[in-house]
Amino acid sequence: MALVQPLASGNVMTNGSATNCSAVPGKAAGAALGCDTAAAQQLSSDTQQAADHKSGAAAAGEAEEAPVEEEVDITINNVVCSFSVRCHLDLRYIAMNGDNVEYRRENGMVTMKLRKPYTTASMWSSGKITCTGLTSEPAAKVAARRVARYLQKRLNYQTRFCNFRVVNVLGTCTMPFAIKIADFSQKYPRLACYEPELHPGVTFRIKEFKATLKVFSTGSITVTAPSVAAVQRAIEHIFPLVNEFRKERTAADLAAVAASRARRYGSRDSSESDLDDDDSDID
Amino acid sequence: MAHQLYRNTTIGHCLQESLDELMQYDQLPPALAMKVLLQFDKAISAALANRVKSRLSFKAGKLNTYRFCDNVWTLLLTGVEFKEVQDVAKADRMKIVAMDGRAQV
Repeated sequence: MALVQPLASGNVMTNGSATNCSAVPGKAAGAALGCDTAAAQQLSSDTQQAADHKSGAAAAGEAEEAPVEEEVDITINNVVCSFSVRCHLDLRYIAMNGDNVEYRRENGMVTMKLRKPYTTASMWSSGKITCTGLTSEPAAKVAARRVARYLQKRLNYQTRFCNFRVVNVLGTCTMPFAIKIADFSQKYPRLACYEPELHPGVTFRIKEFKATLKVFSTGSITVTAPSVAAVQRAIEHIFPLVNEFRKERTAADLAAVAASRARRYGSRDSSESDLDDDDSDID
Repeated sequence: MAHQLYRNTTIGHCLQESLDELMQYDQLPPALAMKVLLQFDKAISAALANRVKSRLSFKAGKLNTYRFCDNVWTLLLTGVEFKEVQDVAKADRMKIVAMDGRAQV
Protein backbone atom coordinates (compact mmCIF):
# COMPACT_ATOMS: atom_id res chain seq x y z
CA MET A 1 0.00 0.00 0.00
CA ALA A 2 1.37 3.37 -0.87
CA LEU A 3 2.22 5.59 2.03
CA VAL A 4 -0.60 8.02 2.55
CA GLN A 5 0.74 11.53 2.48
CA PRO A 6 -1.92 13.94 3.73
CA LEU A 7 -2.06 16.48 1.00
CA ALA A 8 -3.33 19.90 1.86
CA SER A 9 -5.89 21.30 -0.53
CA GLY A 10 -6.80 24.86 0.01
CA ASN A 11 -10.15 26.54 -0.35
CA VAL A 12 -9.64 30.23 -0.87
CA MET A 13 -12.54 32.22 0.52
CA THR A 14 -12.57 35.82 -0.45
CA ASN A 15 -15.72 37.86 -0.76
CA GLY A 16 -17.94 34.87 -0.40
CA SER A 17 -16.80 32.98 -3.48
CA ALA A 18 -15.29 29.57 -2.86
CA THR A 19 -12.80 28.22 -5.36
CA ASN A 20 -11.24 24.84 -4.89
CA CYS A 21 -7.56 25.43 -5.52
CA SER A 22 -5.93 22.08 -5.93
CA ALA A 23 -8.23 19.13 -6.31
CA VAL A 24 -6.03 16.09 -6.67
CA PRO A 25 -8.11 13.03 -7.45
CA GLY A 26 -6.83 9.63 -6.44
CA LYS A 27 -4.83 10.86 -3.45
CA ALA A 28 -5.99 11.08 0.11
CA ALA A 29 -6.95 14.66 0.80
CA GLY A 30 -5.64 15.09 4.29
CA ALA A 31 -6.83 18.52 5.15
CA ALA A 32 -9.10 21.24 3.88
CA LEU A 33 -7.82 24.69 4.55
CA GLY A 34 -10.14 27.61 5.02
CA CYS A 35 -8.64 31.01 4.45
CA ASP A 36 -10.44 33.31 6.83
CA THR A 37 -10.36 37.06 6.71
CA ALA A 38 -11.62 39.14 9.52
CA ALA A 39 -14.11 41.13 7.46
CA ALA A 40 -16.45 38.50 6.08
CA GLN A 41 -18.68 36.71 8.51
CA GLN A 42 -20.59 34.46 6.17
CA LEU A 43 -17.40 32.62 5.28
CA SER A 44 -17.75 30.17 8.13
CA SER A 45 -20.82 28.66 6.56
CA ASP A 46 -19.17 28.60 3.13
CA THR A 47 -16.19 26.91 4.70
CA GLN A 48 -18.45 24.31 6.19
CA GLN A 49 -20.23 23.73 2.87
CA ALA A 50 -16.98 23.45 0.97
CA ALA A 51 -15.52 21.13 3.58
CA ASP A 52 -18.55 18.88 3.30
CA HIS A 53 -18.26 18.95 -0.47
CA LYS A 54 -14.56 18.17 -0.27
CA SER A 55 -14.96 15.34 2.18
CA GLY A 56 -17.68 13.89 -0.03
CA ALA A 57 -15.40 14.04 -3.07
CA ALA A 58 -12.46 12.64 -1.16
CA ALA A 59 -14.51 9.81 0.27
CA ALA A 60 -15.73 8.98 -3.21
CA GLY A 61 -12.18 9.03 -4.53
CA GLU A 62 -10.67 6.81 -1.88
CA ALA A 63 -12.20 3.50 -1.08
CA GLU A 64 -9.51 2.02 1.17
CA GLU A 65 -8.10 5.03 3.06
CA ALA A 66 -10.32 7.03 5.42
CA PRO A 67 -9.33 10.63 4.74
CA VAL A 68 -8.62 12.77 7.78
CA GLU A 69 -10.58 16.02 7.35
CA GLU A 70 -8.92 18.82 9.23
CA GLU A 71 -9.85 22.44 8.89
CA VAL A 72 -7.06 24.95 9.30
CA ASP A 73 -8.01 28.62 9.40
CA ILE A 74 -5.56 31.08 7.97
CA THR A 75 -6.00 34.55 9.45
CA ILE A 76 -4.58 37.46 7.53
CA ASN A 77 -3.24 39.83 10.15
CA ASN A 78 -1.46 42.53 8.22
CA VAL A 79 -1.50 43.63 4.60
CA VAL A 80 1.00 46.29 3.59
CA CYS A 81 0.53 48.11 0.32
CA SER A 82 2.28 50.94 -1.42
CA PHE A 83 1.21 53.40 -4.09
CA SER A 84 2.00 56.80 -5.49
CA VAL A 85 -0.11 59.91 -6.01
CA ARG A 86 2.30 61.29 -8.58
CA CYS A 87 2.59 64.75 -7.12
CA HIS A 88 4.82 66.39 -4.60
CA LEU A 89 3.23 66.61 -1.17
CA ASP A 90 3.88 69.53 1.12
CA LEU A 91 4.13 67.59 4.37
CA ARG A 92 3.97 70.67 6.53
CA TYR A 93 0.77 71.84 4.84
CA ILE A 94 -0.79 68.39 5.28
CA ALA A 95 0.30 68.33 8.91
CA MET A 96 -1.21 71.73 9.64
CA ASN A 97 -4.44 71.33 7.71
CA GLY A 98 -5.11 67.60 7.65
CA ASP A 99 -7.15 65.60 10.15
CA ASN A 100 -5.78 62.69 12.14
CA VAL A 101 -2.21 63.35 11.10
CA GLU A 102 1.13 63.25 12.86
CA TYR A 103 4.25 64.80 11.44
CA ARG A 104 7.55 63.99 13.00
CA ARG A 105 10.37 65.72 11.24
CA GLU A 106 12.94 63.13 12.27
CA ASN A 107 11.10 60.52 10.21
CA GLY A 108 10.39 62.86 7.30
CA MET A 109 6.88 61.54 6.80
CA VAL A 110 3.28 62.30 7.71
CA THR A 111 1.31 59.49 9.35
CA MET A 112 -2.42 59.53 8.84
CA LYS A 113 -4.72 57.00 10.44
CA LEU A 114 -8.03 55.97 8.99
CA ARG A 115 -10.78 54.51 11.14
CA LYS A 116 -12.51 52.45 8.49
CA PRO A 117 -10.74 50.36 7.18
CA TYR A 118 -8.41 50.63 10.11
CA THR A 119 -5.07 51.55 8.63
CA THR A 120 -2.04 53.77 9.04
CA ALA A 121 -0.91 55.62 5.93
CA SER A 122 2.64 56.95 5.80
CA MET A 123 3.17 59.70 3.26
CA TRP A 124 6.40 61.02 1.93
CA SER A 125 6.94 64.31 0.20
CA SER A 126 7.71 62.49 -3.04
CA GLY A 127 4.09 61.39 -3.21
CA LYS A 128 4.74 57.79 -2.23
CA ILE A 129 2.34 56.43 0.34
CA THR A 130 2.38 53.17 2.29
CA CYS A 131 -0.70 51.73 4.01
CA THR A 132 -0.23 49.21 6.77
CA GLY A 133 -2.40 47.32 9.23
CA LEU A 134 -5.09 46.15 6.84
CA THR A 135 -6.75 42.77 6.92
CA SER A 136 -7.33 41.96 3.27
CA GLU A 137 -6.23 42.88 -0.23
CA PRO A 138 -9.51 44.52 -1.33
CA ALA A 139 -9.52 46.52 1.91
CA ALA A 140 -6.01 47.66 1.04
CA LYS A 141 -7.21 48.98 -2.31
CA VAL A 142 -10.13 50.75 -0.67
CA ALA A 143 -7.94 52.31 2.01
CA ALA A 144 -5.36 53.46 -0.53
CA ARG A 145 -8.03 55.07 -2.68
CA ARG A 146 -9.57 56.67 0.37
CA VAL A 147 -6.27 58.28 1.31
CA ALA A 148 -5.73 59.55 -2.21
CA ARG A 149 -9.29 60.87 -2.29
CA TYR A 150 -8.77 62.68 0.98
CA LEU A 151 -5.71 64.41 -0.41
CA GLN A 152 -7.62 65.31 -3.53
CA LYS A 153 -10.82 66.52 -1.93
CA ARG A 154 -9.72 68.09 1.34
CA LEU A 155 -6.28 69.33 0.54
CA ASN A 156 -6.75 70.04 -3.18
CA TYR A 157 -3.86 68.05 -4.55
CA GLN A 158 -3.91 66.92 -8.18
CA THR A 159 -3.58 63.28 -7.25
CA ARG A 160 -3.37 60.33 -9.61
CA PHE A 161 -3.65 56.84 -8.19
CA CYS A 162 -0.63 54.98 -9.51
CA ASN A 163 1.49 51.90 -8.93
CA PHE A 164 -0.72 50.27 -6.36
CA ARG A 165 0.83 47.03 -5.20
CA VAL A 166 0.51 44.84 -2.15
CA VAL A 167 3.98 44.60 -0.75
CA ASN A 168 3.63 42.21 2.13
CA VAL A 169 1.00 40.03 3.72
CA LEU A 170 1.27 38.52 7.17
CA GLY A 171 -0.88 35.51 7.88
CA THR A 172 -1.08 33.20 10.85
CA CYS A 173 -2.55 29.80 11.30
CA THR A 174 -2.59 27.16 13.98
CA MET A 175 -2.15 23.52 13.24
CA PRO A 176 -4.38 21.16 15.19
CA PHE A 177 -1.29 19.44 16.48
CA ALA A 178 2.01 20.37 18.10
CA ILE A 179 5.22 20.14 16.12
CA LYS A 180 8.61 18.67 16.95
CA ILE A 181 10.55 21.59 15.57
CA ALA A 182 14.01 20.32 16.43
CA ASP A 183 13.57 17.26 14.20
CA PHE A 184 11.74 19.34 11.58
CA SER A 185 14.60 21.81 11.32
CA GLN A 186 17.12 18.99 11.07
CA LYS A 187 15.35 17.42 8.14
CA TYR A 188 15.50 20.62 6.05
CA PRO A 189 18.86 22.15 6.94
CA ARG A 190 19.06 24.46 3.92
CA LEU A 191 15.53 25.79 4.07
CA ALA A 192 15.01 25.92 7.82
CA CYS A 193 16.90 27.97 10.38
CA TYR A 194 16.45 27.18 14.05
CA GLU A 195 18.38 29.03 16.75
CA PRO A 196 16.57 28.34 20.02
CA GLU A 197 18.71 30.88 21.85
CA LEU A 198 17.62 33.64 19.49
CA HIS A 199 14.03 32.82 18.64
CA PRO A 200 11.72 30.03 19.73
CA GLY A 201 10.52 29.28 16.20
CA VAL A 202 11.97 27.75 13.07
CA THR A 203 12.39 30.18 10.18
CA PHE A 204 11.48 28.32 7.02
CA ARG A 205 11.87 29.99 3.66
CA ILE A 206 10.04 28.86 0.54
CA LYS A 207 11.82 30.35 -2.42
CA GLU A 208 9.15 29.73 -5.07
CA PHE A 209 6.45 31.63 -3.17
CA LYS A 210 8.97 34.11 -1.71
CA ALA A 211 7.46 33.28 1.65
CA THR A 212 9.03 33.19 5.08
CA LEU A 213 7.32 31.01 7.62
CA LYS A 214 7.94 30.85 11.33
CA VAL A 215 6.99 27.48 12.73
CA PHE A 216 6.50 27.17 16.46
CA SER A 217 6.36 24.10 18.60
CA THR A 218 2.77 24.85 19.67
CA GLY A 219 1.69 24.32 16.09
CA SER A 220 1.26 28.01 15.27
CA ILE A 221 2.74 29.16 12.01
CA THR A 222 3.15 32.75 10.82
CA VAL A 223 3.75 33.45 7.15
CA THR A 224 4.92 36.59 5.43
CA ALA A 225 4.59 36.57 1.67
CA PRO A 226 3.95 39.03 -1.15
CA SER A 227 0.27 38.18 -1.54
CA VAL A 228 -2.64 36.43 0.14
CA ALA A 229 -2.55 33.67 -2.46
CA ALA A 230 1.13 33.10 -1.75
CA VAL A 231 0.38 32.84 1.98
CA GLN A 232 -2.25 30.25 1.29
CA ARG A 233 -0.02 28.22 -1.02
CA ALA A 234 2.83 28.39 1.47
CA ILE A 235 0.61 26.93 4.20
CA GLU A 236 -0.52 24.21 1.83
CA HIS A 237 3.08 23.49 0.97
CA ILE A 238 4.27 23.28 4.54
CA PHE A 239 1.36 21.29 5.88
CA PRO A 240 2.62 17.86 4.80
CA LEU A 241 6.17 18.76 5.82
CA VAL A 242 5.04 19.69 9.28
CA ASN A 243 2.50 16.92 9.58
CA GLU A 244 5.34 14.44 9.49
CA PHE A 245 6.60 15.83 12.79
CA ARG A 246 3.28 16.13 14.52
CA LYS A 247 3.01 15.39 18.17
CA GLU A 248 -0.17 15.31 20.18
CA ARG A 249 -0.93 18.33 22.28
CA THR A 250 -0.84 18.20 26.05
CA ALA A 251 -3.82 19.48 28.02
CA ALA A 252 -1.98 22.72 28.76
CA ASP A 253 -1.37 23.34 25.04
CA LEU A 254 -5.04 22.74 24.25
CA ALA A 255 -6.14 25.19 26.92
CA ALA A 256 -3.77 27.85 25.57
CA VAL A 257 -5.03 27.38 22.01
CA ALA A 258 -8.67 27.52 23.12
CA ALA A 259 -8.02 30.73 25.02
CA SER A 260 -6.33 32.45 22.10
CA ARG A 261 -9.10 31.35 19.75
CA ALA A 262 -11.77 32.73 22.09
CA ARG A 263 -9.95 36.05 22.23
CA ARG A 264 -9.63 36.23 18.46
CA TYR A 265 -13.19 35.20 17.56
CA GLY A 266 -14.68 37.31 20.31
CA SER A 267 -13.19 40.44 18.84
CA ARG A 268 -13.86 39.39 15.25
CA ASP A 269 -17.62 39.08 15.76
CA SER A 270 -17.89 42.73 16.64
CA SER A 271 -16.12 44.03 13.55
CA GLU A 272 -18.17 45.23 10.61
CA SER A 273 -17.43 45.11 6.97
CA ASP A 274 -15.15 47.96 6.10
CA LEU A 275 -15.11 47.54 2.38
CA ASP A 276 -17.77 50.15 1.52
CA ASP A 277 -16.09 52.35 -0.99
CA ASP A 278 -17.81 55.66 -0.46
CA ASP A 279 -16.92 59.15 0.64
CA SER A 280 -19.26 59.20 3.62
CA ASP A 281 -16.48 59.64 6.12
CA ILE A 282 -14.99 62.61 4.28
CA ASP A 283 -17.08 65.65 5.03
CA MET B 1 12.35 80.16 28.09
CA ALA B 2 8.82 78.83 28.48
CA HIS B 3 6.65 78.48 25.40
CA GLN B 4 4.14 81.19 24.65
CA LEU B 5 1.21 78.83 24.86
CA TYR B 6 -0.55 80.66 27.65
CA ARG B 7 -0.76 84.01 25.89
CA ASN B 8 -3.87 82.72 24.10
CA THR B 9 -5.91 82.53 27.29
CA THR B 10 -8.32 84.94 28.92
CA ILE B 11 -5.67 86.17 31.34
CA GLY B 12 -3.06 86.36 28.58
CA HIS B 13 -5.38 88.38 26.36
CA CYS B 14 -6.21 90.75 29.20
CA LEU B 15 -2.53 91.30 29.83
CA GLN B 16 -1.84 91.94 26.15
CA GLU B 17 -4.72 94.38 25.88
CA SER B 18 -3.55 96.28 28.98
CA LEU B 19 -0.02 96.48 27.61
CA ASP B 20 -1.33 97.66 24.24
CA GLU B 21 -3.31 100.40 25.99
CA LEU B 22 -0.28 101.57 27.94
CA MET B 23 1.80 101.58 24.78
CA GLN B 24 -0.86 103.62 23.01
CA TYR B 25 -0.61 106.33 25.65
CA ASP B 26 3.19 106.19 25.40
CA GLN B 27 3.45 105.16 29.00
CA LEU B 28 5.29 101.97 28.20
CA PRO B 29 8.04 101.37 25.64
CA PRO B 30 7.36 98.34 23.34
CA ALA B 31 10.57 96.57 24.42
CA LEU B 32 9.37 96.62 28.00
CA ALA B 33 5.99 95.21 26.93
CA MET B 34 7.82 92.30 25.26
CA LYS B 35 9.75 91.68 28.47
CA VAL B 36 6.52 91.71 30.46
CA LEU B 37 5.03 89.08 28.19
CA LEU B 38 8.11 86.87 28.44
CA GLN B 39 8.01 87.17 32.21
CA PHE B 40 4.31 86.29 32.08
CA ASP B 41 5.12 83.10 30.14
CA LYS B 42 7.62 82.03 32.76
CA ALA B 43 5.39 82.98 35.68
CA ILE B 44 2.27 81.23 34.44
CA SER B 45 4.18 78.03 33.62
CA ALA B 46 5.74 78.01 37.07
CA ALA B 47 2.43 78.79 38.78
CA LEU B 48 0.53 76.05 36.98
CA ALA B 49 3.29 73.57 37.68
CA ASN B 50 3.83 74.39 41.35
CA ARG B 51 0.90 76.27 42.81
CA VAL B 52 -2.13 74.56 41.30
CA LYS B 53 -3.24 71.63 43.43
CA SER B 54 -6.78 70.85 42.25
CA ARG B 55 -7.28 67.89 39.98
CA LEU B 56 -9.97 67.69 37.34
CA SER B 57 -10.62 64.66 35.21
CA PHE B 58 -12.54 64.61 31.97
CA LYS B 59 -13.94 62.02 29.66
CA ALA B 60 -14.92 62.55 26.06
CA GLY B 61 -17.47 60.79 23.92
CA LYS B 62 -15.37 60.89 20.81
CA LEU B 63 -11.98 62.06 19.64
CA ASN B 64 -12.91 63.67 16.35
CA THR B 65 -9.48 64.59 15.09
CA TYR B 66 -5.95 64.73 16.30
CA ARG B 67 -2.92 66.48 14.91
CA PHE B 68 0.72 66.43 15.81
CA CYS B 69 3.02 68.95 14.15
CA ASP B 70 6.06 70.86 15.49
CA ASN B 71 5.70 69.00 18.78
CA VAL B 72 2.24 70.44 19.36
CA TRP B 73 -0.74 68.17 19.83
CA THR B 74 -4.14 69.54 18.77
CA LEU B 75 -7.09 67.40 19.80
CA LEU B 76 -10.74 67.96 18.98
CA LEU B 77 -13.18 66.14 21.24
CA THR B 78 -16.96 66.02 21.43
CA GLY B 79 -19.28 65.17 24.27
CA VAL B 80 -16.85 66.04 27.04
CA GLU B 81 -17.72 65.70 30.71
CA PHE B 82 -15.53 67.26 33.38
CA LYS B 83 -15.63 65.73 36.83
CA GLU B 84 -14.18 67.09 40.01
CA VAL B 85 -15.60 65.71 43.23
CA GLN B 86 -19.12 66.34 42.00
CA ASP B 87 -20.14 66.55 38.34
CA VAL B 88 -18.90 69.99 37.34
CA ALA B 89 -19.35 70.77 33.63
CA LYS B 90 -20.19 69.47 30.23
CA ALA B 91 -18.97 70.68 26.87
CA ASP B 92 -20.27 69.75 23.44
CA ARG B 93 -17.00 70.40 21.67
CA MET B 94 -13.56 70.87 23.12
CA LYS B 95 -10.20 71.74 21.63
CA ILE B 96 -7.00 70.83 23.42
CA VAL B 97 -3.68 72.37 22.41
CA ALA B 98 -0.87 70.65 24.21
CA MET B 99 2.89 71.15 24.18
CA ASP B 100 5.67 69.18 25.71
CA GLY B 101 6.16 70.31 29.31
CA ARG B 102 9.74 69.20 29.52
CA ALA B 103 11.09 70.74 26.30
CA GLN B 104 12.59 74.21 26.69
CA VAL B 105 12.59 76.15 23.42
